[in-house]
Amino acid sequence: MAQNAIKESGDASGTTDAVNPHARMHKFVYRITLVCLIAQVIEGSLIVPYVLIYFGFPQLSLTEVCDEVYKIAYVDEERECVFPYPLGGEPEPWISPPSPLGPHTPPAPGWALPGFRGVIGMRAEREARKASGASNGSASAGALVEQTAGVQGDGK
Amino acid sequence: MSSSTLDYDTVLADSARIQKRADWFILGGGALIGTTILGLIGLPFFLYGLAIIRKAEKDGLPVRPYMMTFVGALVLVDGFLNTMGYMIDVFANHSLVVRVFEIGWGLMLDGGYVWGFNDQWWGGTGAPGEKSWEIAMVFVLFPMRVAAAWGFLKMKRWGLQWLVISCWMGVFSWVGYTFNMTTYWEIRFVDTAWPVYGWWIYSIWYITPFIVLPYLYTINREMFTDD
Repeated sequence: MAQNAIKESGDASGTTDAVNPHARMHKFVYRITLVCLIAQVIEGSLIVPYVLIYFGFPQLSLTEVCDEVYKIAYVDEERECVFPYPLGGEPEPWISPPSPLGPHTPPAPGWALPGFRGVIGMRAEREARKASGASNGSASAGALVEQTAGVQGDGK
Repeated sequence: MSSSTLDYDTVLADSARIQKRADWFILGGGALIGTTILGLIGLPFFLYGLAIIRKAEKDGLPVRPYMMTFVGALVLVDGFLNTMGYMIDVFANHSLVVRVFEIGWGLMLDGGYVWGFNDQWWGGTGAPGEKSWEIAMVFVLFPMRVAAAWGFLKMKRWGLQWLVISCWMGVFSWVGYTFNMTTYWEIRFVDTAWPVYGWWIYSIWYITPFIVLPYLYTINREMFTDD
């Protein structure tokens, strides 16, 4: 009796029971996810030891390996892996030598931002400057236009 | 099991006991898997817990259906593994083993974990956009997914709803993350041991949350009645 009631709920539960109209799709989902799970577990277990062994552990100590990967990462023979790093210590870029790869933070753009509807004046002045030709607009151009031209000139 | 000879209360009590035992194995195994490095030890416990549920279901006991158990537990483990993976970069980027692992892993598969590593004030990866995705995943998506999977295993109504929502958020983050990563491919996939294909072979297994979406839409929602 109880078994029948249970069976019925089993049918409706969306498991791989024959009555379930989605049984094939569910079986497909099950197989893919099982493969994924096993792959995640195997990969998750082996990746840390593999990386350590690849980079020379245990012949090299962890500190030495860290030192070596820092030198590779920064393309800098002088760069060191400071360990233990002082808790609450300053961030590394504050105290480390500048990276030979250049700054990792993009520079500020330095735009000459026009005021409200200032673009109209900028455009008019540029047109006037172009029209004046040889004089190159140096007499008529406003500070804003000069500033803009300066930024463009500095940029490249 | 000859449950026809048992009365209803005994069957219920038996089922509850069996399910509790199975859940211990599933959660214990899942926790070990979640540590990554002890995963191979945890896997047999995890699968044994699932086998207990499968056997009870075949015996006709009113336990949580096997497939639901599997999906819930899988998403739980997936959530734990991902939380671990990104959290070490957010919070533990100056521990020795994490520095070695992240830079070493990055040199093999994803230069985003090498380029400018620990060279921003926040530490860890310096790849453009990477930290933003990590923060969103570590503080929103993965904790939400773990909680959702737990609610789902408890067969709560919100558990099913949250699982669907967090699986869609998984789709969102996969699309956003991979596009961000690919936009800066020069940083991430040049001069690494196994570029693009290596990353995909390594990461494709984490696509599970949205493979289970069709399943979540085709189960009997009436079973999730607890608030």
